[in-house]
Amino acid sequence: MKIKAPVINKEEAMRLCEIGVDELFCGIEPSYWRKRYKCFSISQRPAFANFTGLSELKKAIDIAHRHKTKVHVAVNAFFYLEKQYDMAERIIEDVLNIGADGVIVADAVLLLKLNKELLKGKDIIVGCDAVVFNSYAVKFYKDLGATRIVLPRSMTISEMEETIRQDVSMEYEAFIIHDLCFFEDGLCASCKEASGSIGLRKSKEGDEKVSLFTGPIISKPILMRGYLGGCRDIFQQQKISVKEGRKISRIKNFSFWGKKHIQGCGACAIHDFKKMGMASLKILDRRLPIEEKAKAVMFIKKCSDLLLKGAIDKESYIKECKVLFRKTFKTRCDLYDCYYPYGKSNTCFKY
Amino acid sequence: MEKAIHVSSIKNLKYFNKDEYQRLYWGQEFCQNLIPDLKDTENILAFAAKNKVKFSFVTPLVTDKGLRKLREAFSYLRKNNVECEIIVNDWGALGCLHAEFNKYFKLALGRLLVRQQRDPSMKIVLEKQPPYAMRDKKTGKISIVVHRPPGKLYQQGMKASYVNSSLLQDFLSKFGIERLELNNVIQGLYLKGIRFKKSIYTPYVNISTTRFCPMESRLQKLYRINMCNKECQGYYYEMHSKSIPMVIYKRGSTTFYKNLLDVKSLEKNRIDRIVFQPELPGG
Repeated sequence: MKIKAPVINKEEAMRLCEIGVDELFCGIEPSYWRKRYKCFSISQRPAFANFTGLSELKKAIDIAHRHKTKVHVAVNAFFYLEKQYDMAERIIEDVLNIGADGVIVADAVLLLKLNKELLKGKDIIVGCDAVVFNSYAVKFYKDLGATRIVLPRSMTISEMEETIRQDVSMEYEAFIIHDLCFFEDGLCASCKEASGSIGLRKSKEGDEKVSLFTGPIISKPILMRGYLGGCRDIFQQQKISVKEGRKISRIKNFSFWGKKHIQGCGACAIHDFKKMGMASLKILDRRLPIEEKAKAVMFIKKCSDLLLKGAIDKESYIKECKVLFRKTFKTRCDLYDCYYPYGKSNTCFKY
Repeated sequence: MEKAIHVSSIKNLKYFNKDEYQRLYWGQEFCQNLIPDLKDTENILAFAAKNKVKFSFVTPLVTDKGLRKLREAFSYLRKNNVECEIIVNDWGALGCLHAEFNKYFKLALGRLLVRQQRDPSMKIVLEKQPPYAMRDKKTGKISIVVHRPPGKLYQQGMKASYVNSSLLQDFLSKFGIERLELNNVIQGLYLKGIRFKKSIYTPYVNISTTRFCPMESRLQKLYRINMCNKECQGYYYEMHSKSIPMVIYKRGSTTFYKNLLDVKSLEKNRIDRIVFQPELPGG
């Protein structure tokens, strides 16, 4: 199984390749896109989480190739405007021409439009935003030219197994650590549509903060609290009876995120992923500091290596994973953070 | 203008008015755990026939397990020669219908696949907001935050969807899609170039959907999939937040906001069907 990690500059590419990552993924927002569509995010991430120029990306790709590491570039907005497709296509052509090994897309229209000749021999990865939950959906994207499917984080192990079993000729990728989202990526309007940032503009009277449009900007009260909005908000919620239409509880605070910001880890499931033939394990969050990315890569690598030693039963593997987790992250692994959780007494809830 | 009512349980037939509605939507958009069983579907079909209303079967996002259940329902409808439209919310379900039931049903692309921008804060983003002061906690310095409304292209983009693309429409036509199901999103609609027939849902707009069902239960503390006690059939939640300028509803796996329909805009947008949802449609 390959280990895939996010990267945002050539220094990160160097570091991650040195510690043995097999694949890298990144986004790019070249100047010609920014100039024309500065308000629109090309890959669902703010500008700072993307490469900003092809030359910088080429250097990162060259570094990766020297280490026999593949680089996949995400052009994975939910959709583009009719006028934007040509430019998105041009960006894909440019990144493939400078040596990228594949692209990550989420929009069926973009897949339809792409020059199949140019993509020959390249990885065409359908991202989790495409929401592929079943084998017929895999076939749908395969017919459009996809070579790999990223399975959504909210599939259970047995659901993944069933889907993979029905078409083993396709490659599959699963999320393995960080960035555990509550909502389904491709069906969520909670944060990705409301991502934005504050910039500082100098004016005669003094500094003035201006909402910058890296994506749709966020609304005023969110800015004031420093949230990016959506599911991380604290809501006041009240239960309403469907039958009687009346309020049946007092107002309580609620957050989709529980008590803390969830990082997410699914290392325990690598044992199953190996059996079912998962091609790649994806470490998430392009915006993480490089130290965190490197730590995650090393942790997942060590977990995977446990399976190289020979036959190890699942229970022992999970025990060892938990020890590794504690050593690496200096904290116990928590069910709140679990991508593929087990219940009490190790009876898996999701199997 | 055709008027339809969407019911997802037998007891919701109490909202049906024979003089008002010409079509009955039956089924679930968001959760495969609530795909109706064949017996209920049979009863609904009898009810539709008795009241001489047309029938649409609404399908959710599905895993392979859910797809098997849908396949049973599709086979049942075909076996009984039911003249039926199917609302598809999963590419796999569309692929299955195309491969195994080719052109038997009329197909409509559901709200989950149309991918409109459904952020309830979108109106605030697009319309000019007054400036406000913000104090830096560390330095005590006060800054003025100015909202710079986005340009025309962005405004248009937030009202559009990828179904505006003629390429996608040609592609979907090959699968037999004839109609689009649309949310009545708060920022308005941009439907230029769409050749399909259009339905609009009122009054609920779906915001986000998950399979980690957030309804309260003994197991709420664990992220849970397929651990369904059907809590959503007993109650839902009204939610308020300082950052979102409207009430958010949470029922089952999906959150919603309410946006009332501007009837004048329907003709302008060539929308020929209104789908009324008498109850919060989540599940």
